[in-house]
Amino acid sequence: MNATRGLLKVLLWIEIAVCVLTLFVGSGALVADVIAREFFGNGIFGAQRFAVWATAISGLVGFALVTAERGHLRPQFTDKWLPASWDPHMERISDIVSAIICIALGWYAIEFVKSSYALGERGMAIPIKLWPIQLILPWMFFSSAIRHVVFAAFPVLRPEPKGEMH
Amino acid sequence: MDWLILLGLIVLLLLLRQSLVLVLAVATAYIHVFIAKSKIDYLIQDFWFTVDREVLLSIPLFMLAGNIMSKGSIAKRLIGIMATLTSPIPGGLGIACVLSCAAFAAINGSSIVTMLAIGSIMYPALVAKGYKKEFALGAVASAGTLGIIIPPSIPLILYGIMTERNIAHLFVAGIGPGLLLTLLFSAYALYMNRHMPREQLTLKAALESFFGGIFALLLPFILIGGIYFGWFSPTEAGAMGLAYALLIEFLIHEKDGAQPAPAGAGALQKVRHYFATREMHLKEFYEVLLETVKLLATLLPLLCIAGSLNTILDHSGAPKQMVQALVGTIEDRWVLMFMINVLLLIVGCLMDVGSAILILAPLLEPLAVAKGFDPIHFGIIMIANLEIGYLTPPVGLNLIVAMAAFKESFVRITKACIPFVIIMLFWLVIVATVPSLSLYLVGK
Repeated sequence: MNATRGLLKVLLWIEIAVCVLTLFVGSGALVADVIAREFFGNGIFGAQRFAVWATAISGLVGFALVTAERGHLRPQFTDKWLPASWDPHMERISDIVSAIICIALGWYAIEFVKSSYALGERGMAIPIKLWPIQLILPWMFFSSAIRHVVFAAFPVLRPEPKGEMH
Repeated sequence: MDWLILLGLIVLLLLLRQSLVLVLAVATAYIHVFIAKSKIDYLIQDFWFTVDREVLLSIPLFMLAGNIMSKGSIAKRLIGIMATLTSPIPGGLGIACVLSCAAFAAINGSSIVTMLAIGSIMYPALVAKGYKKEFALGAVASAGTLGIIIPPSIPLILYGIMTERNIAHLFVAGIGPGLLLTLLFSAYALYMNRHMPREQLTLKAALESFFGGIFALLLPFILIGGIYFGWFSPTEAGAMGLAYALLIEFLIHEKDGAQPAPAGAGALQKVRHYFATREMHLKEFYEVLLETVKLLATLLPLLCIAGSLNTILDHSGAPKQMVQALVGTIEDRWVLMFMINVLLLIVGCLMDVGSAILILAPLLEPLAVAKGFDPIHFGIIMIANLEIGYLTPPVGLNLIVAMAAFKESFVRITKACIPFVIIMLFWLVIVATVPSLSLYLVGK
């Protein structure tokens, strides 16, 4: 379990670094673009496109960060429809089902990236190949799936939820 | 039959305690495969096409700027000015609470951020000054909702994205209703606290609070003025707001109780001391960035799935059929508007504002437009309804967050908000029936 805890910590650290950095540089690029346009008459070439991708990386990789702290919005009104004695099992079942859904979505995300790679899709304004950026899609789902599997296997590693909706 | 199975699937997933984003993802995948007879692959494609758009850029900017303003001292300085200006009025601090929320709402786009930023200072101050706890709780929780109607507003951006309407027009249309609600809340605060003692306003105190908060006070004028006069697009306004907030919190605003630089310090030491005594440092900035990432990551996947759902429903023609059926069935446009309002008020009790907009805006807007309502006006009506949802149980987010922030019971806060909800319902009637309140500034 300690090894798993360590693995989750490293994963969390990497994802925090990626998300914070991309949000910072993406917002910085936009601010610089607007200031350049307002005060010098010309914006910065490609800044908006760069910011779009940076925001996408930050927001989608961040999906896994929110999973890590169980912060996704969850409607709770159906919780009372099942007997309270089922509660301890329900947490585990919930994580297993979430993991299955995330793995399925991750699989389709890989298919999407493969097709983008095969077609050689490139970005507008900045014509780089898109598939390396699109890898965030499988990443967000598989990283979340890993967390759900770990929470189901080791409930002690599951944090208190933050995103419950009453 | 397919729709019944879908409903059953959603209930099953909710029973299995799945998060909203996963429930919506599975439901959308089901619609793709079994109802629209397409492929799940398109769901992932839509995910990418949704995030790969410039129109989304204003969202992280306003989120980040709002969090910086909340973490720094902008909220505190705005409160200082409002409290000083309203001190000669009986119950002035109550009015100051409402006005501070309105001013803070004009520089950030979130209800929760507005309530926490102003409420964390105003609630203890109101209670310490002898205002009733019920009034104080109701005022901070309710005036906090001004955050989503007074521009900039993240829900208005979401509405604009989902219905492909001009976000700048939506922002401008929110000004009139936002000011009216501020006026109504202020009048209620004045009436409820009319027996509270007045305080003397001295020129010295007025000047001190004014100069202490001048940079914070300029921000609403820059943002709203910039959008109204067409100097900035919403994204540019977000970028300017962010740059301005960073500038004044990192370089200008001084921390409370900061000591002057030691006598005889060299120039370099003085510069170091200057930066050390500012409101925000890199550590706080990192925390703000991380907080913003989490907010963005909660919203963005929901937006992607809603985008896919919207595309596939549009492709299947279902919303068009629904609009035609309802428009044919309900003849009177005001009966339809009444029904939409009731639906939105109920939805506001059960769902968060963002999810409600993402799911319902593309369905309801064509309906309202088909009956002759202006789409921008309808956007404001929708946001006004959902704004009330912040204060209605069981999923009134301001109630839930206020419960945690002010350490009071859910029931007590809910009861405290009842008079304010009644005022908001009266306001909603005006907003819905007087289109010029929203559209006059848009020039329609």
